[in-house]
Amino acid sequence: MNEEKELIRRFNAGQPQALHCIYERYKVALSRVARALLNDPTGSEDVLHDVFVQFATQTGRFCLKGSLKGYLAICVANRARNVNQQGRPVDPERLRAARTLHQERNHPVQVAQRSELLQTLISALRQLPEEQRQVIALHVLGDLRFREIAKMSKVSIHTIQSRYRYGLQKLQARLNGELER
Amino acid sequence: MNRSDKIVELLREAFPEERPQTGADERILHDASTIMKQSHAATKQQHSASKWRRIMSNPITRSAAIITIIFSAFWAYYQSVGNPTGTTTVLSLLNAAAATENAWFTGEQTVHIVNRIVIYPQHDANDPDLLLKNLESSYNDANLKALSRWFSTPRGMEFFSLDSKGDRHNHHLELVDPQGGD
Repeated sequence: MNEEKELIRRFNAGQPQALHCIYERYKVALSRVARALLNDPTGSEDVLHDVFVQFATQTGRFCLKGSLKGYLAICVANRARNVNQQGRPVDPERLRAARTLHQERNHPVQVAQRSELLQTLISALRQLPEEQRQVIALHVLGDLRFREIAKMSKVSIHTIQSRYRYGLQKLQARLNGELER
Repeated sequence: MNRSDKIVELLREAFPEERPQTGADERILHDASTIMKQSHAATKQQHSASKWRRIMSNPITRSAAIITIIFSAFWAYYQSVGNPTGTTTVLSLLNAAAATENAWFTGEQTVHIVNRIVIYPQHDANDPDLLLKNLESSYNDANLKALSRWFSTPRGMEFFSLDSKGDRHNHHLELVDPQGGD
């Protein structure tokens, strides 16, 4: 936490190295959250770009109560929601290419067995209401606590927990008996 | 492992930790750094200008400033109403100066006026040649006194002038001793 405060202090002092450190530290988790929340996961880099450019404009006056990672993750979630609302058509070829690349790179053997299950899960996640999808992505993939999400979203912690619970239930219902396999 | 845990595990598997590509990293960091430098420079410039705004953001300071302005306005208003002539401060001062000046010149006070005296030479009035000629042409007391005064005067200033023909004429400016009479 002290390290984060020092980073923010250096960031406010206008040191680009501090911005680089922040980016390097959180880019993986933020990219993961963006991919989960975007209808078109290939746009995750654009979302990260927009979030960090917007963050950079706040140098000299950035003040934060809470974790920097939580703040940036919420920014990514909000930006992803805006991009989804703009309703850019998803190019199925690009989507397929991205998924194939990911599958070949990470799971060359198991991909055949679990591919269908994962595709169903991703599809089910995309069909969840925006709020539930956001809480699941931030908690599961961004490793944020419910309290942190509630504070950043300015919603009560009970609401956040309910959204998470209902979201998981819907995913379970969608996957049906495939989880038993 | 219950169903919820299984779904969480599947979600993590579906969205593995992936680093953005190197090109993307460079693009994001370059753009963000550029914006950061510009914003920082702009913030620095605004810093001095926003000092007064920051002071006034405090409600206590703001209230104190408003009270001071209102109080000053009332004070200025009553000052002008309290003046019997009803004039402004500058006009009051001018009136006072004019009244003092009148009192000096109409009363019995001695007024010393300091002034600059510009002396213009009277052409040929004290020219020794002319004085001699005058004395030669008519020998009388006046011409003799004029010549003797020219010789005997203890204070004076010699100067000369040129006439329209270019001839030189010597002059003597006599300063009369006030104690000595003529």
